[in-house]
Amino acid sequence: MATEAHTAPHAASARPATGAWSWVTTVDHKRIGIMYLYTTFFFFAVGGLMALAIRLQLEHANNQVVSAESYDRLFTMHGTTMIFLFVVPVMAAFGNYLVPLQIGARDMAFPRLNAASFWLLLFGGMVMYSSFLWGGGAADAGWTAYPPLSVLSPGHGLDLWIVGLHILGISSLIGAINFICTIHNMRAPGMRLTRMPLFTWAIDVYSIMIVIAGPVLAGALTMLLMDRNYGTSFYQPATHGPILYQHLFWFYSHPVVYVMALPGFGMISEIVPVFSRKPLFGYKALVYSIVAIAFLGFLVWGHHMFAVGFSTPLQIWFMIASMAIGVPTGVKIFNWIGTMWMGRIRFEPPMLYAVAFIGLFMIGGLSGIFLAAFPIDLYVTDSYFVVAHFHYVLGTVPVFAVLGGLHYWYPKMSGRMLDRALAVRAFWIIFIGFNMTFFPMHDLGLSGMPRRVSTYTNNAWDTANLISTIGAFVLGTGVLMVLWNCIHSLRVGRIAPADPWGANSLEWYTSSPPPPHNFDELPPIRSERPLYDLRREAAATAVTGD
Amino acid sequence: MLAFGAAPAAADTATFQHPAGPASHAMDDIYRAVLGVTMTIFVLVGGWLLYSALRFRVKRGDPDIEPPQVHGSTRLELGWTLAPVLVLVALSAYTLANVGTVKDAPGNAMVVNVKAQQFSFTYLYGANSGASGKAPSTPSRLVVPVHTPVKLYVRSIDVNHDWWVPALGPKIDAIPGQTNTDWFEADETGTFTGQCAEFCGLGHATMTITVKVVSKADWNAYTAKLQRT
Repeated sequence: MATEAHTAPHAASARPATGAWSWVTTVDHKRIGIMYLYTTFFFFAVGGLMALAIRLQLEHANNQVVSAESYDRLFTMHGTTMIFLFVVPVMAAFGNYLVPLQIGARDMAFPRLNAASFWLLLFGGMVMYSSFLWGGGAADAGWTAYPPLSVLSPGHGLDLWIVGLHILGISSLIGAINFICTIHNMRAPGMRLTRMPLFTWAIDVYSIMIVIAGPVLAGALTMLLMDRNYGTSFYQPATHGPILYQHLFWFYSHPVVYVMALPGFGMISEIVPVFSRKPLFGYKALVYSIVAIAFLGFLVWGHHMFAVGFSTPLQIWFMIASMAIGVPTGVKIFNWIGTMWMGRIRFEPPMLYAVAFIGLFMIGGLSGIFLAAFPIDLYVTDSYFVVAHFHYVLGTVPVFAVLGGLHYWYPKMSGRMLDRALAVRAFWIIFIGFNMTFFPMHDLGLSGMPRRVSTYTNNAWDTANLISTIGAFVLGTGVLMVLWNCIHSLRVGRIAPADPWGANSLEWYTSSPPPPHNFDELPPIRSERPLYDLRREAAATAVTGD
Repeated sequence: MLAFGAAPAAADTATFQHPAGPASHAMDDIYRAVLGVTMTIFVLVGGWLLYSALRFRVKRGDPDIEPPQVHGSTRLELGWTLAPVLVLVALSAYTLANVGTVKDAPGNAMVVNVKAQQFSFTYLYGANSGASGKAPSTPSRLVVPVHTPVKLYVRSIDVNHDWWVPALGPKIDAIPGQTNTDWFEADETGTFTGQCAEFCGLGHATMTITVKVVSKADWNAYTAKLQRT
């Protein structure tokens, strides 16, 4: 019976309301997820344009495309935008859309709170960006905003930056609480934690990390705001305040690396088994490794501070803890390849992105070992090597995991298929552009180019910078092709069936797009692959002629 | 799929600037060890990924048979958990064996006080230098003798900076309110350049560092001249 329902997807019984007002007032997790997607991709485009301006300025020595003043604002806002307005909330976009579907729930635990977290995201972004309109201009102290520089930064750009971050922090905090409540209370019968899709697992851990780390940043930034405006002295040099800030900042910001990365891992863990036609190799090991990475992620913040004058024992601790993260990360990579091994791999666009992610993330993971080994770090920290490293870690997440996820779930969200040929072409352009942009930066860092310089005089750095700048435009072209594909296919794409990929998790059981109430009925959930079980039963029935 | 986009193929561009002292040599040694190990891992695991992707991809005309539904292998998974542990323990041990040279200045090192401010570093000679209390003739250009350990006391009077001359040794932050130490020993004469590595405001890109390493004879003449002024 359930099989029949699956092969003939449900006609959406209740037609969703349309019109702008219905979107403004919606509490449907899917619509909120879509609004999150539009908002975060808008900020992705803005952050990307800033990156292009940065790359134009650095294209050759002594270039003068933008002033030092503008450059400082550009790299500050590029980093802030990509982290707080794109990568962190884009995971909430997918989480919002997918978590209730993946656990067989009707909606999130607190639908109105969910709407609030979206509108706060938009509001926080607007507050932060309003700083461009004020006389003093936007924040210019880097996304790390180290005092004393950030205390001295003139105008109110940095104040608006802090207030904007506070609003974004509240947005992600209430979103995280909502995810935790939803995942732990609203799973369908049979959906045990050990049968939960890896993406939902990752969102659970993502949320827990936000709840633990978020308030620390909020406190650190509040003290910065007070120091700037009300004469407090939390970060005054006489009491080593500048170092205190760095501890607080990185106690939040290193876990945030995993807040961004884990849902990306979750996406890859969804895509790889489906397109390999195999179950995840070592489901439990992958879950344990997500939890282990999250736990260790809270113990390693000091590796961002190796040059502040730490004692050697402290450096040794942070080195060993940081290296330890390599172990669960390695387990993930091995298990993904183990999933592909002996499979029947279909290179649909999501799988192209997934395999590229595994390979490129490996580069980022391995270059992380250089940074964990603090004697090397004392050479490469704050150089372009670090910029290369974190783009291979945190740039691959949005560019390869999230775009992979977008190609994977687009049919579910829109009810249309993407143009496959265009998607494949865009993938290769992105792959080439990404590596052209970021790989040469390793070399720049090793040959002595510090990060965050608005210009440079050393002509030896010209070639690598030129390659990087060209690569950035290639990458931008590829991303534009993806966005065009997504917009164009909304109108002309082939109608998507409920499950275009032969997937495993519950979101593919309902129609594409799902009706407002998500499911008319649910299949039995006896493993982490309920839809695979259904297909196998159907095949057995067909053979026995039952 | 895994091609290095624009890999700097030549070995000498993919490594540190020509190291010119014991601290930078020790760092370079650790760097080369980690580079060797990570490149090996990348080639092996990347090769496995690429092979799996190519070997098991569906080709036109392949029979539509479901692959074996393997859910994992405890032995394999334990193996590839323990193998990275061993590699990382080995790398950590090698690193720790070399840490002393990178971090600790010999006791007889000559002292130089470094003052960072937006947007320059200036210097004052200290103990064991033969010019204690004197600034170099050009205050923002540090002159030191060859084959002599130099211990730096680094301070800042405004915001965070970072003193970094890649060829000579580790970088160190200059943070207001505290004194950090760093050291180097140049084993050849010449002029070495670097620049501030911690973002410090509008002039960050222009905050350059010049270290002139001179022979011992030139150094004696230089300090004698400094003492006379």
